[in-house]
Amino acid sequence: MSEQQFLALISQHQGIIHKVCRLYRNSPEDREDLFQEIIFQLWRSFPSFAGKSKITSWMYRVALNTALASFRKNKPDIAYAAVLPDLPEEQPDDHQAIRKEKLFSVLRELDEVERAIIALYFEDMSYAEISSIIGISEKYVGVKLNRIKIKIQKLLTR
Amino acid sequence: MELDTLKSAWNDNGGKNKNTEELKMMLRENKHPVLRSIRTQLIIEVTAWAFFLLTYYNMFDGDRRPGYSNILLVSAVVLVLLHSITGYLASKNIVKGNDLKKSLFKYLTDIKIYAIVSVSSRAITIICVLLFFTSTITFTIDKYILLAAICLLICIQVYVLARIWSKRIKKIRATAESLKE
Repeated sequence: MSEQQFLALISQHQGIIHKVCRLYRNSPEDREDLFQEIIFQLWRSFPSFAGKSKITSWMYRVALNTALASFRKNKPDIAYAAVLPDLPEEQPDDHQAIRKEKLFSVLRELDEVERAIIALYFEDMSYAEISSIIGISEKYVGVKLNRIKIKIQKLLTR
Repeated sequence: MELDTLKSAWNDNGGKNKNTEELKMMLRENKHPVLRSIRTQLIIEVTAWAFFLLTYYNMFDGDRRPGYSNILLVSAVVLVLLHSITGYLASKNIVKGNDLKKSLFKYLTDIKIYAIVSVSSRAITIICVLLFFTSTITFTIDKYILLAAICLLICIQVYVLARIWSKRIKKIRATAESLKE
């Protein structure tokens, strides 16, 4: 498959990469770096993608693997603006954005493997699909998911 | 707030979609954020060490020092460069298996080996450089004290490096171990 075909596929499913970046990195800069790293790793492992699994499953596997294994910068999350704005930036759905960020912050309180499993569950993947991406048995996927759901409920109700 | 709300938030990712041209740029190795900084460091290191190798013989009286110390110094420089190149290649190769568990365990094994190589090569390099510069010195008590202080600093540096690696490995190991049934 050519570079153009690869880019078309990635462009179509890039939402997956955005979600993984948001799940594993806190700052926009770190998310941007991880996004780029994932695209690079997808391109590198593309020749070994035999088409046996769905393209989304393969993308999730590589994206999660990259997020878990790549080094992150140990620096405080401070963003400097180049110019001070005269007026506050207009954000019509600010409330919704804050609420969404709160929800993601709940997910980020899970450990890294739990985050990977719940992400795949949210994508409506079957236990068999989750099992093949993560590399654990279907039974253990069920056990893990139950624990994660209980943990999330506790985090949401605290 | 229920799990379903969380799921709907998940599916509405909110990330700004990138166009094909932006994605295409990201396939290039020279645009990679981590690799670019490692490569810059590598270029600076190679230039600095090459300059050192070209000038040390005259600047630091290489001709008046024993042959073994010259060989050790050149070997140390080669070791530094080999280590940097290996690190660059290792940073490119993160995905190592058909599933997350296999990949993480393989990555853990590789990173442990790399950490050992990294710490020991740093120690060996410093020892070789130190041997070169001390090979013609006639030691007095003061000089021994100075050498001991330098050795202490080296030990602290190697210890700090080992701790950094140990933290990284511990984190990857904890993630990999949590996948064991």
